[in-house]
Amino acid sequence: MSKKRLTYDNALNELQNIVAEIEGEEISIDELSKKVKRAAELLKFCQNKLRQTEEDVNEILSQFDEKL
Amino acid sequence: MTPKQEYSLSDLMSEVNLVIRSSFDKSYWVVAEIANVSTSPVGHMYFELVEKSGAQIIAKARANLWSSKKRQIISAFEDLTQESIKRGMSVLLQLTVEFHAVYGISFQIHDIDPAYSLGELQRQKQETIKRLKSEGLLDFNKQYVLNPVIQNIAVISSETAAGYQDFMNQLGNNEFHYQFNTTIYPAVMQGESASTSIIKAIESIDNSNIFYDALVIIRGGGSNLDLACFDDYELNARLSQSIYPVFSGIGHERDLSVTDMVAHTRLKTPTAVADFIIFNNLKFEERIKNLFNRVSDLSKDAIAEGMYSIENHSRSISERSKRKVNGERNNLRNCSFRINKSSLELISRNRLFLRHQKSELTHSASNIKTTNNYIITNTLNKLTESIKEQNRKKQKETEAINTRLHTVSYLIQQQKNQLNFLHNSIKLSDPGLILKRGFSISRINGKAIKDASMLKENDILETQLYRGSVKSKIINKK
Repeated sequence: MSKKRLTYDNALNELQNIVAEIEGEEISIDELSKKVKRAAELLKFCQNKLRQTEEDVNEILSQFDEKL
Repeated sequence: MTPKQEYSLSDLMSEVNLVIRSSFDKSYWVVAEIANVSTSPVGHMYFELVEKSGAQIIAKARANLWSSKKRQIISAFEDLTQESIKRGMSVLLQLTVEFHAVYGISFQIHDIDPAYSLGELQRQKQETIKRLKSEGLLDFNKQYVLNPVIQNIAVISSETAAGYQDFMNQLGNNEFHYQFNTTIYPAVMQGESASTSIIKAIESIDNSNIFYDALVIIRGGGSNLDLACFDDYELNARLSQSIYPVFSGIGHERDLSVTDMVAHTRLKTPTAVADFIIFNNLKFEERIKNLFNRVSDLSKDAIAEGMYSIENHSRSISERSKRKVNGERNNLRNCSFRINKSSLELISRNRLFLRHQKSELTHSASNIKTTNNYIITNTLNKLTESIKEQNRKKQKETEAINTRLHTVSYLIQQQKNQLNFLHNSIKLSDPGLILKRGFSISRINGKAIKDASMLKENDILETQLYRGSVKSKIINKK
């Protein structure tokens, strides 16, 4: 895992790779739980990012509405 | 030489008088210019009449208007001409010739024709207008463009005139609360000296350090007589060339004065001048307000338009953001689902594989066990068989021996049985042995009891047991 800051795109990319790996059965049972755990982390990150983004957008827009 | 006939002066005067009276026995309409006029304390008017040819006086006479006729004649004249009789005026007079021994020839005035003087004034006025026009002065002042706001005002008027007060009040009490700076330049506003006085005032205004927006010339409230000064050439020529636009409010009853004609703007009364100034400023304010409103309206429109556009953008951003977020959410859900599903499948596949392995292992194990069991069983069977065989052989040998032994043994047993019988027979006869087997012996008085009839109640028995003995009393007997 690279040390650089995780972005939504990176996370999603990684997540999709994991999905492909798991679906492609390239993965061993030994790795599976590790991969799924990582996938869960990435999912959580992405969901949080989405929720945060949604809230930010709503707040920004509501501020804008007030100004209007 | 005849002696000279002598007359007294008065006789001669009487003769002259006679001749004059007879020769000039009617009245005459005479045109003359008034060179001077004065009024006596009792109300008679004394005129000095002249006729000029150029600058030269070619005739000169005195004329009197007696107070008895004066009132009627003067008022008729003033009513029509709006002018008082004064020096320099051309008049048409009805005269009779008078001769007086002391004062000589004079004329008595019986009438003054106002129409003639009026025509004369009009003629002079027309001449003035014509001259001003030819000199380009009639419309000269009208070229000025008024300042948008008229605030600094030079006023030519009489300080005591009601018209001036009207003007000041009208300006001061305007409902819009406009402020004005007025400077009064006092002048004589009617009569002979008016023209000079007003011209002086105009000079003062034009040379003032104060910059004015307008020059206002007003009068009113006094007599309406003697306003011919406002038709005066000198005055109007100067007035039209003032460096400021001129507003007139001199209130002629009949027709326009020349001053009204040369003024930038003419108005009927001083109040009207004030109203005009206020209205001019109001127009400016209205224009400013309209401009402001337009700016305001346009701004509001622009803002509203901007708002609308921003609202649209905002809505579109909001919708697109939500769509994007939801799309991503679905994507994540899909990822999550696929991971879950694939993981479970992977696990389940592996589990299946394990189960398969286990079942194979079990099967193999079971096979091995069966095989081994068979081998073991077989071996055991063989072993058992051989052992059995051995046993059978041994048994046969043993049986043979046994048979022989049995025979011997039988014999021994026979002997033993015989011995035992003998022994038992011996034992049965021993009382100790009988007692030992539970039998007892009861005695009374040392004699063994064999029949109950030997006994009665309360007899004491002594019973001997295998071990020991007891004493007992007979309680009952059957």
